[in-house]
Amino acid sequence: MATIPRRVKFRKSQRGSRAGNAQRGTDVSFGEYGLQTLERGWITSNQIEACRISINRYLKRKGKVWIRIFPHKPITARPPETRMGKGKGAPAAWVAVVRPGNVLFELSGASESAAKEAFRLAANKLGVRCRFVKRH
Amino acid sequence: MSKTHHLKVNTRKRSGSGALKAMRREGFVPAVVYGAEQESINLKIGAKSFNSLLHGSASEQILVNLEIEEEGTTKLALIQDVQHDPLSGNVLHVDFHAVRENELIHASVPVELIGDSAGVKKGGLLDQQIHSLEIQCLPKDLPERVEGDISSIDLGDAFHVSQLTFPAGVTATLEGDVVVALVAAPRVADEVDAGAEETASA
Repeated sequence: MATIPRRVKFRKSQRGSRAGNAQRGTDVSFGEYGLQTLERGWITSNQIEACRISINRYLKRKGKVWIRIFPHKPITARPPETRMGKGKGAPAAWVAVVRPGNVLFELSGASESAAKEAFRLAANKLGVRCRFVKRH
Repeated sequence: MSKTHHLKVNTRKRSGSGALKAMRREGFVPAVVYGAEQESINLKIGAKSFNSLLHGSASEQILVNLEIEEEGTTKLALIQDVQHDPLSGNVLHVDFHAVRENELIHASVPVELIGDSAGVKKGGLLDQQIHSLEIQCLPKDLPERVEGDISSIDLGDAFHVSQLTFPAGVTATLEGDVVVALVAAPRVADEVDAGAEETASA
């Protein structure tokens, strides 16, 4: 089940800015290994869930996973074949805004090679370039 | 016991983000030294010498003898904080905390768990909750890391701060009953698959 906000103050939001690099959430804080994004973008709740499943499937019972991002932002879309106007479209998805440097997932309790492979599979589900990082 | 390193530093007059960016391009790392009984001094360090110092140590909290070339003085200081660029990993800025040899200092050192836990051999998951620990000691006693032998930790057991091996003169600021790591029972495999099936059907 994809994670989405339980309750929000406003149903629709503007696109906002994704400029600059990440200032927070850039270190591996909970686990031993992490998946860090090198690009900016929107990551949908479905993509986050797909990553979680691919990591857990690969690791089976080994390892503990932390998801460091949350899709706070509602994205709207217009129905197909509609004319312009008539107001903003209906909410279609929830996304997390990520900037270069954000750590998306963390992992502990697995070997480094297993963590690398699990994160490689997870990164394939995302539309941003990512890299494997370790705790300093 | 970590040894005291020597580091040649220069004072700097330039400050502000633009000037410091230029300084980094020239191969220097901006730094500052402060302490309870002294005015803070703005410094710059050669990036190469500082990086080699960091790479040679397990911890980033290292005791250094700062040789300030313009003043011709040396100061004993602890590396209090190192700021890194999140993408390149380059050092952006360093804080030095001037300390006295006979005064207790607080420092954060990495916790290293050694040995293979009995619980992990049975299929448990080692969950390390504390990766760096704040300790109190004299500067000369500052260790590079704190070690703990987890080989006797069984499934469902926890490893506490009191079970860590501290060198003489070193104490932890946390209580002894704080959990450093635990060996949790493995999750049921079906749980993962069930989650996946739910998503597929949604």
